[in-house]
Amino acid sequence: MNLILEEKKNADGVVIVSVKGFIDTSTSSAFEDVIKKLYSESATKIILDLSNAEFISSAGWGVMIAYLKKMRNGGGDIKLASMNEKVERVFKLMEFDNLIDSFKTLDEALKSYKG
Amino acid sequence: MTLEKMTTDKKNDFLSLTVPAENKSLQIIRNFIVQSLEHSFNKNNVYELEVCLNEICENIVKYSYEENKNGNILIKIKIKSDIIRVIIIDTGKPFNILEYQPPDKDMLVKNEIKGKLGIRTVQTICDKILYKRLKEKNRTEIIKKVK
Repeated sequence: MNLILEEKKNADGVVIVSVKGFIDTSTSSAFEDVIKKLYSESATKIILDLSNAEFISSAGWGVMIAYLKKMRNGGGDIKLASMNEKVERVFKLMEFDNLIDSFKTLDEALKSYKG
Repeated sequence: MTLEKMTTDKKNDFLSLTVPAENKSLQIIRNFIVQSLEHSFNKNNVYELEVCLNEICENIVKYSYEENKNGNILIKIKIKSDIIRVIIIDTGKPFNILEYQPPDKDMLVKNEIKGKLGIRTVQTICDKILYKRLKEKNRTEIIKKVK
C-alpha cells in the first residue's frame, strides 16, 4: 500500500479525507491533488483522518501547511484527527501543533467545526 | 537496473544498504532502518531516525542527483550502545545539508511554504549532523542518542 485517499463529505459540509499508507515525496503530489481539488471546489472545511497514515515526511506536512492559509481565508481549515503515536511525536517535535489543530478522535475534530 | 544490496559487516559492526537514487527506493530505505533497529530500540526513536534518513535521501535524489537516476545511495548504520550513527554516501553533486538555512516556523503558514521542511526536520530531531565532501562523494552523517 502506497497511498490511498478517500473523501467523504458530511451534512455540515465538512470533508473527511482518510489517509491510508504513507506520504513522502513519491506520493505527496497525489495528496496535493486532492487538497487542491477540494479548494477549487470551495470545500474548505477539511479533516484529515490520519488513523491509517503510517509515515508522513516533510513533503506531506508541507502540503498541509501550504494550504492552511487558503482554507482559513475561505472560511474553513485543515484539521488533523487520530494521528498514531509516532507520527504525532514528530508533529509535535517540529512544533507543527502550533500551526495545525489536531484532535485525538474524528468525533472531536468534527465537533470543533460546530463550535 | 535495480540495485538493492544489504550487507552486515561483523568485523566493523555495521549494516549497510545500497539502492538506486530514485524516489522508488525511499520505501526500501525506510524499511531497512526500521528492520535494523526496531527490535532493540524505542519505536518513537526508530521512527524519528526513519523520518530523518528519508528526508536526507529525498534531498539527495532531488538536489544531488537532480533526479537523473544515474547514481546510488549507500547507507550504513552503526550502533554503539545507545548511540545510532547513520552514514549516507552518494556520488552526486556537492550537497551540504549544513549550508541550508531552514525557514522560520512562524513564516511557514504566512508565506504558504511547502518545501525546505526536510532539513528543518533533520536539524530538529538529530543530535548531530556531519558532512564531508570526499573523493567526489557526499558523506552525510546523522547521530542520535536513543532509548
